[in-house]
Amino acid sequence: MSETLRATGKAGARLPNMGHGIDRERPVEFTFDGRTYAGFAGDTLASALMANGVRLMGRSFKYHRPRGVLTCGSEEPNALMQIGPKGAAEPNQRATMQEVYPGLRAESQNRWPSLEADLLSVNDALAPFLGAGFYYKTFMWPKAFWERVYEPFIRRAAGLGALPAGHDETPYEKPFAHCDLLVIGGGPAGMSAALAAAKAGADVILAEEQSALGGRLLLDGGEVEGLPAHDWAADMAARLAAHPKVRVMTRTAVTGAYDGGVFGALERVTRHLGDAPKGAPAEAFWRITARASVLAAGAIERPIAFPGNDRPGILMAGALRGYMNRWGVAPGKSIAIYGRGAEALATARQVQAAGLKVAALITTGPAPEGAGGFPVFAEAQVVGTRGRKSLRQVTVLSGGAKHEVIADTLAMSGGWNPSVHLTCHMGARPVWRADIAGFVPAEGSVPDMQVAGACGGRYDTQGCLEAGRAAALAALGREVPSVSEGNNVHDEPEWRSTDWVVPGKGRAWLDFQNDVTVKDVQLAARENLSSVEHMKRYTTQGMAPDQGKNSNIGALTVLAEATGRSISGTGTTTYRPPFVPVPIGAMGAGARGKGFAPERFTTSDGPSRERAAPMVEAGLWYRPSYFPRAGEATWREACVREVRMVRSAVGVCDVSTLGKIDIQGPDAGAFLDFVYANLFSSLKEGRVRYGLMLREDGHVMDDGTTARLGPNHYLMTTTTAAAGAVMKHLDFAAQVLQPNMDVSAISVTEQWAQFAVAGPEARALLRTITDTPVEDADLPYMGCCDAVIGGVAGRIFRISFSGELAYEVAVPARYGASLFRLLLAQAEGLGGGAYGMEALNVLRVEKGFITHAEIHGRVTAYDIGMGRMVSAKKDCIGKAMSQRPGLLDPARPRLVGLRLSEPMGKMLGGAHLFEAGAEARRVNSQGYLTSQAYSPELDAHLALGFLTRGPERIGEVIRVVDHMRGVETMAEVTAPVALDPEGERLRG
Amino acid sequence: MGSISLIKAPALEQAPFEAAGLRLEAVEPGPVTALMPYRGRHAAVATALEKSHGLGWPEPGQVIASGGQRIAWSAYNTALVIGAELPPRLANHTAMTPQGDGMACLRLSGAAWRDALARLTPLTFEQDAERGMLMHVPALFLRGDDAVEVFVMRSMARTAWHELQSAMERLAGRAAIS
Repeated sequence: MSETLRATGKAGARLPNMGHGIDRERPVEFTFDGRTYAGFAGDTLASALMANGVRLMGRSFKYHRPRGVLTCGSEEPNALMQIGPKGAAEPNQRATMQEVYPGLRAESQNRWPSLEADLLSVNDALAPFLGAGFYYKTFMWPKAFWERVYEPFIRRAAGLGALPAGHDETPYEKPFAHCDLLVIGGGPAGMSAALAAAKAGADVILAEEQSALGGRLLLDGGEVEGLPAHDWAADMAARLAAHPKVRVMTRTAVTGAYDGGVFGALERVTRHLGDAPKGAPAEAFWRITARASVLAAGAIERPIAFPGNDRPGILMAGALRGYMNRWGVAPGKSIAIYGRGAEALATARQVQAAGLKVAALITTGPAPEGAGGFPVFAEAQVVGTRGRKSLRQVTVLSGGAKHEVIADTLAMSGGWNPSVHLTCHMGARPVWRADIAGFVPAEGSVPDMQVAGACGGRYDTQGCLEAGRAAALAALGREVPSVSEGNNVHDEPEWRSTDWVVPGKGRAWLDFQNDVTVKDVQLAARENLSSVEHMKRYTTQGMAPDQGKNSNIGALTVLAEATGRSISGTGTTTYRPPFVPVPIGAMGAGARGKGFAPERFTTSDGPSRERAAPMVEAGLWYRPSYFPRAGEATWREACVREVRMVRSAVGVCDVSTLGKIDIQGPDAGAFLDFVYANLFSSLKEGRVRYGLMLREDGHVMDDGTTARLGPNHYLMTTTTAAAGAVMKHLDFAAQVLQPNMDVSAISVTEQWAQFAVAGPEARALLRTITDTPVEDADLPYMGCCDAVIGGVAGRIFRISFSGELAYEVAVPARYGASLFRLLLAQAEGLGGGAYGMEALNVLRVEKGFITHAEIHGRVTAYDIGMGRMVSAKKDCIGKAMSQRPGLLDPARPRLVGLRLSEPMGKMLGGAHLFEAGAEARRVNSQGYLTSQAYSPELDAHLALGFLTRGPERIGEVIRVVDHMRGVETMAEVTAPVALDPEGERLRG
Repeated sequence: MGSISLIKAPALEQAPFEAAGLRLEAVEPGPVTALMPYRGRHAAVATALEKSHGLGWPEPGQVIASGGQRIAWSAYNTALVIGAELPPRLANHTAMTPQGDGMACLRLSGAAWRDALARLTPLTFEQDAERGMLMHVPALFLRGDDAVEVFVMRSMARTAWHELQSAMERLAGRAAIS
């Protein structure tokens, strides 16, 4: 507490009768760089620090210059801080936007060892060598140094703040909202627009990035309709909050305008709270869809580029008024004002009224009428400043003579830049208006968007109120009232570019955040980077968190003069979303951990986990890898046991994840003939056929079996991996390619739980669970039938993916877990049990059955030895393309089996195949290996792969080289089917 | 074999969850059958359903209810009959596919159900039946007055539950901000 008292005692910088935005009854303690300070509820971190006499709030990007607050809004370039608990503090948070809360912890950034004594400020002394593009020129040679030496060094020296090293555990959310009218900005124009639209019956969202509605009414003082401006704003805000058609979203910055009336918006939900309720998001990234919108985003005050304009104590005049009026802060004791016309005078009067000293009024034009009571320099410019960590003195050039003004604060204004950003997000360019010296949005920049108030170049309050109302009604397609010709404070003396860029020597900053000076831009022009986009990239002006909100117009003014063009001819750089920085965590809200991807569980998931089966992710599915038993040390032991179990007794495996598509209709057979390469209309009822499906380009898309359940009723199965893709493909084929066919297809993957029962004892097992006859005569190989299983209507298919006598038993999914338990119990009684993915893979490799490891998208039916399955009797998707000569070239890599011919060798998936004796180089590769397995049955290492002219090379010994894992061996080329090539086992 | 009978298991075994004035529970909607009428048979299907159950054929986005039975649009040329057993002769006019086992139905009730779903889907629920993503889970939403039923694939029920619960927790957290 003593620390606090010392800090607050030193300040005395609160103004007694000002500060409508703070609650002096509610003090708030926080820390900055480890030191405790006190502010009030309603303060921003910037206002509270200023009230405590803290000026130095950051170090600049490149030269590590001491910097203080420049603005009081989201455009702040200097007061960027690391905010939050140690280890999880967010970098680059703007002190001007961060509201104080008890326990807030802020740290300055881009300094070492401390903000006061930053060793890298040596860069400032080296400034003559560090101009724009210095690193492009300096770090050229030796070439190898760039990656190893220069870049790491530059990266360490550059950059603002530091990302926390751990995962971001902060809760975020990414909600959607819809409205008739989105009003962007809650100043006078926005509030007026929202109320008018709500009165007209529209559903309105009013988004305001500040914590309260009012815009400049909260900052500038003055009166509206006989009330103090901030009171008027509070009344209006209360009316809007109470209106049932209006949803007021404060602390919400609209970040981007997108197609279809969609806007992005970032809401700070609990960033202003010390104790956020459990579960509440820190920030929400909204996607708002609006039928129409009104942009009432206001304007951003333009700094003046004059030598030494970046010292702490120099700030925007509008910010000065804001700190005095809203937060009751006196930014200094002796204040010079530098601007033009009535607005500069009004600022001076406010300073006077607050009881502070006006050190000088420096105007770029003639002395404003009625100025007096303080020194006035007319037709004047500031040409220099002094004071290292705080402004001490200002040098004014007026009437050909230099005058030194003692001041600790300089409030500057080079005019206003309408906030046109959102109107440019869809490619439009703003239009220069010389009368207000600002770019305004081009008509029709964003569909269904109207522009109102300062962002449209209208600066007087009355005009903003009228324009807001008119814009709302125009956006809703209603009759639009006329808007009066307002008194525009900016239409007094004619604007000259010297109002915001002072010619002459000395470093004059344009972009405070990126340390870009007038000289840098002039250098870019001299080096022929004269396009504004090139200048931006060469100098880095307009990059970084503030995206040049303060500096863009100043920089292009300098560029225009340096290249002899006009400002409008030079144009602006491209404004892109987001308007304010959006945390990646907010964009990816909900997508961590369980939210990363859906998890799909089979009905046998519980029983499988009870048996301690490790799960493997297959697509989104979780499938058991193997079922370990006591005494088994490795997966391999379990796998070998399970394979032997299937080959010698019986195994049970959940195959529900395979896609199942129910196809019905009078044209179902014709439809299948169309989507499959082979013929299905000829399939008899109660029979199953293997089918191969091609893509339009003639390559294999998927394979599987299809059963004919009735005259017009088929059940297709797909691979697990392609289930979704095949369903989509069938929908496309039915709706687009064959709209005349009367056929319907619907996924029943989830409806049925299906289990493979494979092995010599499979039939014996089935006899124990169903009365439905399953003998060869009743249910031959590739047959199917309805069945009653444990009292439930199901189906049995006599198909095999293991090469054994096998069935697949299907029941409605709610009975899946129960059936799995039953099958396991019965299997165990017969010396069998469950088998997992590892065993399944071995079983199918032994049999040369393909999966998507083989049909990976680049192989044809010909490549896998199924060329003759592409029926000559009919057309099908992909048939024409599959007949291209290039796809029928015998020299293509074609499916073969491989058998390891070295006892200690290893064949790994992904290895490449080379002729024996050939150098294992890319150009010599003759194919690749797709699957491999150890076959306990054959006591051999087997593999499947694609080898050029493969089927012609059976018996040849080739090199198998896995460059990635550094494994090499020799293998013999075989036919793909290694076990029971005649298929005697599966026919029982 | 006659002695063996399989036991039903619900798609999701989860105790109801309450937060932010909302209640989330897994419910059993009864039998669900997908109908995909054959070419030109929609009127026949509508008539048959009218006679048998007081239902009809729904327009896209529509739900027709009668007693505890409903027919809800669910996709292109597809509607789900929920809570009713259908006469087999209906198969003369339409493909009929049982779907009740393939789905989990999560019911979210409470006045602010729309606010919870706004965290997960861009749908506006202007229609009785809408299809879209619940975060990353494909879903069919059937809205009621103070509740919505979310039909998801049975295998994704746990993920859908997780998403809905998270959204409710966010809402509850927001509500607790003073």
